[in-house]
Amino acid sequence: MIETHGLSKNYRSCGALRALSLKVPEGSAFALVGANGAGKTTVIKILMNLIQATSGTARVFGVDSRQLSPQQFRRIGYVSENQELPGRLTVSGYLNYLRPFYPDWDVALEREILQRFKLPGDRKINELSHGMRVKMALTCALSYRPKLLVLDEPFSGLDSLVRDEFMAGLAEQAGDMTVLISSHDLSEVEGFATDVAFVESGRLLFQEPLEALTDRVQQIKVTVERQSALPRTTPDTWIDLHETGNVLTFVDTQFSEFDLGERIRSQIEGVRDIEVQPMSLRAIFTSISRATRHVQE
Amino acid sequence: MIWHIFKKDLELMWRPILAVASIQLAFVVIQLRLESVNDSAVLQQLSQVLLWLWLMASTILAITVVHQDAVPSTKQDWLTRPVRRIDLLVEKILFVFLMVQGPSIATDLVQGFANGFGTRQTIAATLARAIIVFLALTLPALALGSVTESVTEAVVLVLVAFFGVFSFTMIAIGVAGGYGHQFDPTDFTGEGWLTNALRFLLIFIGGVFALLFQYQARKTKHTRILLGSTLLVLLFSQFIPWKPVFAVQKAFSPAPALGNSVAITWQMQPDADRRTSYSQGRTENRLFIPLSVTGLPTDTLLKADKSEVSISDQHGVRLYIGTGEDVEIRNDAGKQSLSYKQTIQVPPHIFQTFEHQAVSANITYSMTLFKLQSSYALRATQDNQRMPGWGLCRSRINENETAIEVSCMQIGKGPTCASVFLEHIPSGDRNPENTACYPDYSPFEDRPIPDVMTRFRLVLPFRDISGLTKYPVDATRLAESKIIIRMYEPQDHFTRIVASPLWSMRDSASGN
Repeated sequence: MIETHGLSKNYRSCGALRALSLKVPEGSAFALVGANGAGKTTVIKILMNLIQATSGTARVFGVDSRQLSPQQFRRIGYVSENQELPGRLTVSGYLNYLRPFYPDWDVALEREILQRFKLPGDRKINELSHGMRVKMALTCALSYRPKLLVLDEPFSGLDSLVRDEFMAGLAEQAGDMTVLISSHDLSEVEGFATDVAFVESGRLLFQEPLEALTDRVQQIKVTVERQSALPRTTPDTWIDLHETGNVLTFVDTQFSEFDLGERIRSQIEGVRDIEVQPMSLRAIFTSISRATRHVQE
Repeated sequence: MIWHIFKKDLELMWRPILAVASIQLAFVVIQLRLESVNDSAVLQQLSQVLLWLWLMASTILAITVVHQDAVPSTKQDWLTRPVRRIDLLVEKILFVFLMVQGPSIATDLVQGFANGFGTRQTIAATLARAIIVFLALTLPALALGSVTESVTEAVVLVLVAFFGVFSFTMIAIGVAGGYGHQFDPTDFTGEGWLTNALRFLLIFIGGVFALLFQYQARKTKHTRILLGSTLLVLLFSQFIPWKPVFAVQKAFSPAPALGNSVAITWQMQPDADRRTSYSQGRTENRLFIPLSVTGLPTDTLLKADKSEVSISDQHGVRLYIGTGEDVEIRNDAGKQSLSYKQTIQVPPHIFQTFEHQAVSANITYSMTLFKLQSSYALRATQDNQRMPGWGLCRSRINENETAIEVSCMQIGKGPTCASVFLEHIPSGDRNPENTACYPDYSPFEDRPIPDVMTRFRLVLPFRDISGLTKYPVDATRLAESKIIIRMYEPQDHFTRIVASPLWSMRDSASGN
């Protein structure tokens, strides 16, 4: 559905993206996560042909993103936190304007979404609150049942109630569409995403199915007999190490239950207890980000 | 989808469109009022204010229309919609042409028809003006709108461009050696329309190419460079040499052989040597070179569009290069030979250094031969007449009762050259002629403002309050007199070179 190869983008001397290669599988709910300024929006803008990459390629529906035509845009829905809608048109006025551009526009679905979001049809767009505007943008993006829905930081500035409404509306309509969602707020995408990609300082750290990621990355808490038994060096796959008395906590990025005890005992002497804790996406992201920054420093 | 986008823009923009149209309407109402109330200074000023207001408002409106779907933006919703960019571009051009220029086109048509001009003439003049306004105002505004996201940004770009043009002009003046230097040799000549046409062509090519490029590629920086380059080429277009421009004008001569018989020669003085006369001023010396013209057909008028003068010493070393003053010779009586004096202004230091030395002059004339096309007669007092090729005229005695004022208007391009005089019909007595010859060889009116009408006024005095001048046709004879308008049209453009023998700038003892 979406593929990028060696995508780079420089703003003057500053590299916003560095050889980023990404693959969004068809039918997935793909979360592109990373801190603010990591390069998520840049990737999406390149994919939507809003800006052009300095080097590398980006393909959407198998078409070079620079060549995206109305034919492809009829199948793409795009919602961004700072999308500029024609403010002086009313909600209904803008929907009326958009409708003829999409042969697959579903008026019944449009009404259903409008109702769900309680959007006032006669209100001018610039009189809507930020949250309402984002809902409006989502209505404009969902009403023609796009094959690909691209959401760029859609939750920014939204209160939790609106977020829930937004996500519920999205989940209801998602069906078999592919969703690419960028966010720095991981709790929002955790229950929704099937795949996840981490971007840090313009680089893709990894991408994989969310389930595989949560299986692979686990927090380990090791209690030892005495404090001096804690190791001076640890494997590279152990990140975010914390030592409190005779307890060592770390994140194992290549976790496997198979001979876990033996592997840990080969690194640490006098192991008394090993505790494995599954991690939330937010915790995984925080640990990996922290570790990456630590390595860069 | 062009019409669909058009309707959306109309819904968004109808208020400012109405405001700009109101300004245009107010301007036309005042213009019409001015035609009935002569010399109203307040109305004249108001009309000027409204004209400039309309120009500014139209430009801003055109830019704002483009900004409704801003091209350089990365946030605008339309960018990720299935909108064909070429559709959007066509819609913007169409919208601005119809909605911004539309009211002006409509008022031009109304003015033409209301003043009784023919359908074909009115439509042709309106269309010609619409195209000129589009090229001079609308297209640059569209191009500017396509590379900006807000009116503020557009104004900043205009200021940058203005500063660039100002700096360029200052540098050019510095290089040329000070103020007063004329860069464009076609300025104030009938051939000026050719350089203007070239500029319009450049604006068209630059503007259309920039719009197509920006809408297709959305490379704002590159498009701005393209527009800046077009502006630079436009600035350099004022340095186009005279000769190629005149050569093109020659190719447009309606009667290319009419001037073949015309010859200009240095006039030998029968009494003594070859003699010029001069007058001395504080900053210049004027030389009057006697010349004669032969072979000028009857009822023609010869006008020099440019006379390039060079003065050399006896060894052929060039001392001075300049231009001669205006030359206008009419042959109504069918004379074989006509004499005139070519005036040349020479800088004082040249005159003082070389006044006693033998010098030679070489004058290259680029000339236009006008032929009398038609004559019209208008009653001296209170007459209204429509004259083909001249326009709709009205005569009346002025408030001081010293002259007849003839106020005329023509749709589109006005007449180029005419002689006008008062004639007492029973006796055939005539007052001195008033020749109004402002050559403009353009086939169309290339002046887009203020409107489609060309208005002009002629004043024919018949009484001198001081009593110093006595007119053959005075107030007592006006009732039996007519205003005769003799209209000349350019027929042939040609070059003549006059080479003088050796002479002295001060070989005549008496100054003129």
